[in-house]
This record gives sequence, C-alpha cells and structure tokens, in this order.
Amino acid sequence: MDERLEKALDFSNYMLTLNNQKRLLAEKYQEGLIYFHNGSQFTVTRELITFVSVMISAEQDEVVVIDDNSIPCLVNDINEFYGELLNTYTTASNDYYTEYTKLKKNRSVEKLVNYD
Amino acid sequence: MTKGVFLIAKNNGYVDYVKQAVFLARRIKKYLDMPVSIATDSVEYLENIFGVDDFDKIIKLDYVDSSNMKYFFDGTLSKKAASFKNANRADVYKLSPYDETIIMDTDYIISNDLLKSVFDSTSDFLIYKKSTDIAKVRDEIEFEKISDTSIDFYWATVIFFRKTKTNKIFFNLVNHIEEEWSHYRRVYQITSSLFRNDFAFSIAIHIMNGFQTGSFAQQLPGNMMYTTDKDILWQLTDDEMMFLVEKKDYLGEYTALKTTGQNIHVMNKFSLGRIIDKEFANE
Amino acid sequence: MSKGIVVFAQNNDTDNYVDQACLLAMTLKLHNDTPISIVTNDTIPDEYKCLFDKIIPIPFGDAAKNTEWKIENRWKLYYCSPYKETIIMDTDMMVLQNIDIWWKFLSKYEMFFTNKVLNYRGDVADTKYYRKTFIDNDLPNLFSGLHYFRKCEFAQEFYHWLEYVMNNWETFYEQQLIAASRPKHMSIDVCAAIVARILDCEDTITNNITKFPSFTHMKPYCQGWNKVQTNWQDQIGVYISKDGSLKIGNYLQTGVLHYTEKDFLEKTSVIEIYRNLINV
Repeated sequence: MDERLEKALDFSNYMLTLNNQKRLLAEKYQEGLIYFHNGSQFTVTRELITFVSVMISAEQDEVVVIDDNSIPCLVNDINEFYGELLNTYTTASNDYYTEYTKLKKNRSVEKLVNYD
Repeated sequence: MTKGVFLIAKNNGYVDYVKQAVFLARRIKKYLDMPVSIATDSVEYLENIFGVDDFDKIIKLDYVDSSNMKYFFDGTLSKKAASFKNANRADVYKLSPYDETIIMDTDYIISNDLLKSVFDSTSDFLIYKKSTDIAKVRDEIEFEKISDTSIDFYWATVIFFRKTKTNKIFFNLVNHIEEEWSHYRRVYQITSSLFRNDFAFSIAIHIMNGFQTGSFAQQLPGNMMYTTDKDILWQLTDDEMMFLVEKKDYLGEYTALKTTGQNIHVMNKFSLGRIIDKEFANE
Repeated sequence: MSKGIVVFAQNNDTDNYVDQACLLAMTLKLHNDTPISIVTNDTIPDEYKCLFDKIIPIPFGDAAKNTEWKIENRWKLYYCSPYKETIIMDTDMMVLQNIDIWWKFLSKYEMFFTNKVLNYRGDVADTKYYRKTFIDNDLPNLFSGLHYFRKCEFAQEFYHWLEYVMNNWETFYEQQLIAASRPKHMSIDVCAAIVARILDCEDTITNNITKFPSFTHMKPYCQGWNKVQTNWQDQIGVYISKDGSLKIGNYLQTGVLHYTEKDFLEKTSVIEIYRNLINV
C-alpha cells in the first residue's frame, strides 16, 4: 500500500478511536451530573444552579423544583440543596476536565484505550 | 423495607448464565453494596461449582427447555443458534424476596454506584428507555420503537420496582402478554415471532399508561449503555473495560474502545464468559 | 362574550364536507357545551340540523363555484361568524375531549394560529415534508385548520388582507415566494402566512412554547414512520369503541383529530357510533 495512504488510514483509525472515547467521556460526565434529593432525580445544569441561587437571593427558604421526570419536588433547605448542586457540578466537571486532558495527550490508539 | 438485587440465570448449554450471575453478584457487592438473590434452574451446579456465599437467597426454578431459539454472535464472524430461555421474567414480582428490587440481566456489568440511589426514588417503577450504543456505528432505531408504527421501546435489562398493588397488576399484565404473545405481537405490529421481554414490558407500560404516552414508568438514572454481540469484550480490570467494537462497513474488523466507571450491557455472552473465566482464575 | 366554533363546508363533485361537519358537530356535542355553526350553501340532512347553533349561507356570493377545492370563500368566515370569539375548524376533524380550557388561553389573543401539530403518538409532528414552501420562504408556520379570532380591529384587518391575498393569490405568490417552491394552487395556510408576514404579526398570533391548542394531523409523512404509504389508513388500524373512544394504531386519541382522508367516514363506523351516543 502507498505509504501516504497507510499513514492517512492510521490517522483516521486514531481519530475514530479518539472521537469514540470523547463521546463516552461525555456520557460519563452526564451521569456524573445526576444528583438525587428526597427521592427526586436532578441533572445539575448551570441553569438549575442559577435558578436556585436567585431563589436564595430572593430570601426564599424553600422552593419547588421540577425534577428530570417532570415531578415537582419541594426543597426544604435551599442552601443545603444549592451546596450539593455546586459540589456535584464541580466534582463531575473537574473529573471531566482531567480525563479529557489525558485523552488529548494520548497520541496512539493503544494509549487511548490503555492497552499494554 | 428490604432492598436487594435479583438475578435470573437459566443456562442453555452454550452460555453459562449462572457463572455470569456469580460474577455480577460480586460486582454488585463491590459497587452497590447490596444483597443479591438469584432464581436459577441450575441450583446444584451453582452450589457445587461456585458455592452459595455470593447470594442472599437462592430460589430454585424448574428446568424447562425453551423453543425460543435465536443466534448468539461472538463478534461479527461467529455465531451459534441456541435456546433463549427468557420466559416468565415477570414472575420476579412474586419470586423476589425484597420489598424493593432491582432486577438485572446477568450480562449487565456494574462499574459504579449510580443505581444505588434508585432505592430512595419517589417512583415505584423505574426502567431504561434512553439508550446508547457505545460503538455508534449501527442504526439504533430498533431501540426507539418496538416497530415502525408502534410504541416506545423500553429495556427490560434493568428494572427497579417496589412491591405495590399497581406493580403487581403490571407484572401480571406482562405474564398475560407473554401467554398471549402471538396475539399481542400482531396488535403491536411486531414482525418477528421471537418473544422478547423488552417488547412485553414495553407493551405493558403502554397499556398501564392508558394507551398513551404517560408517566407509569419513570427513567432510571443515566442511559442504558450497550454493546451488541457483534462486539467483543476484550479486557476487564476493576471498573475499566476494553471492547473491540465492530467497524462500520468493514466486516471482521474492529475499533478499540475503553469505558471507565460506566455500567455496560455486554450482549456478547461468549466474550463475557471468557473474561469471567480469566477473573475467576486470577482469584 | 359569546363563543363558538365555526366550520365551513362546501361540497364538490366527489367529497361531502357537510357530512364531515356533521360528524365534527356530533363529537363536539359529546364532550363540550360549545356551540358550533356551519357556513354552507349545501343541504344539511334534517336529522343533523339540530347539531348546529346556526346554519349560515355563504355570504357575498360564491367565489368557489367553478373550482374543485372550494377554499376561495374561506376569508369570509370572520364576517359570517355569529360569535364574538370564534374557533375555526376544518370539517375533517373530530373533537375527542373537552376543550373548554382552550378558551381561557385563547382569550389572551386577538388572533391565534397553531404553529405546531401533533402526530398520532402525541408527539410534536415533523411536518417538513409538506411545508417546503414555508421553509424555503421562511414563512410563519401557520396551520389554519384550527385557528381563533376575537372580533376586533386587528382580526378584521387580518381577514381584510386575507381576502385581498386570496383573491390575488398568484400575484402575491409571485411577489412573496421563490419560484422553485411556489405552489401551483392556492393554499389557505400559505395565504394566511403571507398575511402574517405582511402585517409582521407572527409573534402575536402564535405561541412557540405551548403544545396546545393544536390538533393531531394525520398526514402520512408527519407520523415519524420510516416506511410511509400514500394513505395512513392503509398503514395502521382505526379502532372505535361504543363509548366513542378512538384508537389509531396502538394510541388512544385525545384533543382534536384531523383525519385528513376523505374516505375515513366510509371506512369506519364512526358516524353510526356517534349517532347512537348522542341520539341523533
């Protein structure tokens, strides 16, 4: 096979694997953003964090938040809820950043999938 | 309220579901820290080969040969026809010794504690509808609806339920659908005559919702992530799995893929069996 | 304020729109107290006259005498509606639930057009297949099959423009639409969309967030199927029970159903069932 073509195919294989790994990492990140409160499931988003923050600024003690399954949930301790949301977001995002950075540094298919 | 995970294992001569169940039970203990019970038609085999320590309760099922046959692939180039013993899954409602149960297929490999939180859910019935083929080279449309003109597809692979009157009605309905499968598959425009629990559960959910989209079944957290039996589980170390997934348009070729800390439904039971053998040999 | 539904029915050589309107009136009677009036020059069977609040002849002459689709008179509905608040419906519709709550929502508008329709599964339908003209010309995605107006200055102006556009549709099509996606026939939806563009009122007559008021639109390519047949009735079954509840395929239908196919009345026992239900 022409060496140029071989190199191109090698690279395309690498890109295929890299894109797959990025996609799986994104899925894992989405799972990491899931937070459970009083039996309700919330996916922590920047919008949710901002909304709760606004409620705190408005000096609300409790708030009704709609969960991932469209079920309303009464949050009694809004400050604790806010803290947990932030914690969930920062933990998941930091892990995502760390893993993503590692991925970008791996220059071969074997390194991408940790195959020794 | 008692809580636990319930597995069903019925060997078919080619696939050792009991071995898979033992392996999964150990991972459930590690990642979910929950008791695991099993219903199996191979109790003596379990006791003699693996022992009983991995299970909270062992329930004996009658051995029944199944006429349900299907192809089990081991990668893209190898397949075997074998009986698919998936009958009476809905009996799990009365078989489970727990008030709150997660039913799990034995080829669903746990690698995180995400499912632990479902026991605190306000919903009494949780199931996966959203799914992700981690290979992303195949048409995933067969897992969106049970047929082109019919209803939403739900995965019967992992289900959480509480023992309630409503759920009892639901599981009895699934049993009824299974008994009258030749009728229901026509009503729901399913061309294959092979009975599948996914279809039966999907139909039952649709009926419980009053024949509309509804809220009887809520979503388990995350997505049902899966590989098919045309992919190969190559390596498993703690919470890391490496797969060779089929390469689009290149029969017999694969792309490598690694998952970390993610629960995956590994449909290639042969490759899973080989990995389990390696794990057990190392212990 | 008086409220009611108005339906326009003008038969042609092949289709009996009056019969369709009568079925619509029957379904409305079963679930709602809302009056319905019919605008028609055709004869209504005696046994069905009681279904209608008023039977109104087509005013200002018949602009559709020599045409097949008979839509040329549709702009007159504003002027012949006897109600202060009116919902206009197509004849090939069925009302399958109480829709009184829609009036509360609609009263906030001077005019309202739905800009999204549903498929038989209850999901918002993908209508791209039928809406090439709208997409290519960036027209407001209006569905005039179900729309509302309150008698007021704005609504009158809208209908005045609608009259003008419909009576000169070829000229307006040439001016407003690119040649490649210019329909060869007049469409009431396209004309209404052109008026909305001229008056720049899309934002005030539609709502992008709410799913209702709307209707289930049974055009085959809107149903989310991979393999599509010409007629939806050839692809899935229709099941009507004695209490009037209707399933299409495996889905129970609610809200407003726009069955679209003219032979729906012949192929199903729907008229007989509803006649029994409301004793007509």
